[in-house]
Formats: sequence, structure tokens, C-alpha cells
Amino acid sequence: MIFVAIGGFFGAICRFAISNWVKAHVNTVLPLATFGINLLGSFLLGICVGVGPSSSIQLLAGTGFLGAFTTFSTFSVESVRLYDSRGLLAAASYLCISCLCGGILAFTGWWLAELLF
Amino acid sequence: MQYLFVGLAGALGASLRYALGFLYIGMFPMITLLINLIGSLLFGWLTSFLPRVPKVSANLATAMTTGFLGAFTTFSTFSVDNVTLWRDGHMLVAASYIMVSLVGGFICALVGLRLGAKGASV
Repeated sequence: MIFVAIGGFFGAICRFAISNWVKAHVNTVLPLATFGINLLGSFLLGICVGVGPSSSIQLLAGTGFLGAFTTFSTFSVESVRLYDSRGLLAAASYLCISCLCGGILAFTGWWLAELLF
Repeated sequence: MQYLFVGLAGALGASLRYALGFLYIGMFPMITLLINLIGSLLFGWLTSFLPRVPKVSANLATAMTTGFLGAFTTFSTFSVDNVTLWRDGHMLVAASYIMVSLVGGFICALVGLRLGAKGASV
């Protein structure tokens, strides 16, 4: 539990920092920060699962850090905001592209890890 | 200071997600699904409701939404779950998990946002 909490602490802070940085530097209505964070996190968790490290590292890096770094709630709320501003097609595209790319990246990370370790 | 609040709330959210994971062992990732749907509903509701509550500081609101709910819900596990199901040949389970997660998350967030906005006008 302590490993998950420590990982969660840093995962949430990293997500918040990246979101703030993107908000300050990129002027767009598209939820790019969450999109990038979720895809990167999916890729890294794929690696984590593929490597199959010790359970404490798995809890710290996987369940804790990457679990908290990536987020589904913000992702859902952003899709509704897109629906309000750009219509259903934009919202559906965001949902489907995130899901598809997340799956492909998780698979790639997993595959790479099994190849290398 | 705001970062510390988000981090602490994130530690809580991740720990709760981990603890709930012990409740159910099975092929269908039911716990992750429920966490993500409930989190989406609450995130939508709190995002539209909290800024209108004078007693709640911006720091606390951010900690509750971005920190706690952001860490409680997860996208990386969702992606890896789908790959696991797909690799094990459970295509139909993966497809239904994806559909329910995406459509359900959207509906939950929509209901939450609209409820929060309504609460403000009462």
C-alpha cells in the first residue's frame, strides 16, 4: 500500500505539472495534455507488465505512479467538453483515437519489453 | 503548495483504487470499469459544482478533482486490460469493456457536469 501511495503521489503531481505546462504554452481547445499523458502512460505500463518486475516495483511504478499519472475521469469530462464545443463527432473521435492508440502503445510496450528482457 | 495538495490527494486516490482491486477476481475488469465510471461522474459533478461553493478554496477543489479523482481513475490499466483480453482471445469481452468504458464514461461525465451546473442555479 505504501508503494502505491508514493507512486500515486508523484504520478498525480507529474500529470498536474504537464497539464499546467501545456495550458501555459499551447493554445488549443483540444485536450492534448491528457491525450499525451494517457498514451505515454499506456506505453510505459505495457513495458512494466512485459518486464514483470518484483511486486513492490510493480506497485510503485505501475499501480501507483502510472495508474495515477494516467486518468480516465478527466478524459471523460474532456470528451463532454468537446461534445459541447465541437459536436458529437469530435467527442467520439477523441474517445476512439485515445482508446485505439492507448491499446496499440500498451501492446508495443509489452512486446518491446518481452523482446528485450 | 498546490502541487503538494494534488500529490497527497493523488496518493489517496491511487491507494483506494489499489484497495478496491482486491474485491474481485475474474476475467472481466469490473473494478477498473466501476472506478472509471464513478470517477467520471464525480469529476463532472465536482468540476461544475465546486467553483460555485465559496467555502471550497481553489486548492482544495483541484486536489479533489485533478488529484484524488485523477489518480483514482486510470487509463493505463484500461489500455493494458484490453491488450491482455485481446491476447488471450477474449475479443468480445474486450470489445464490450471498451464500449461500456467509453460510452459509459461519457454519459457519466455528462450527467455529472449537468447536475453540477443545475445545483448552482438552485
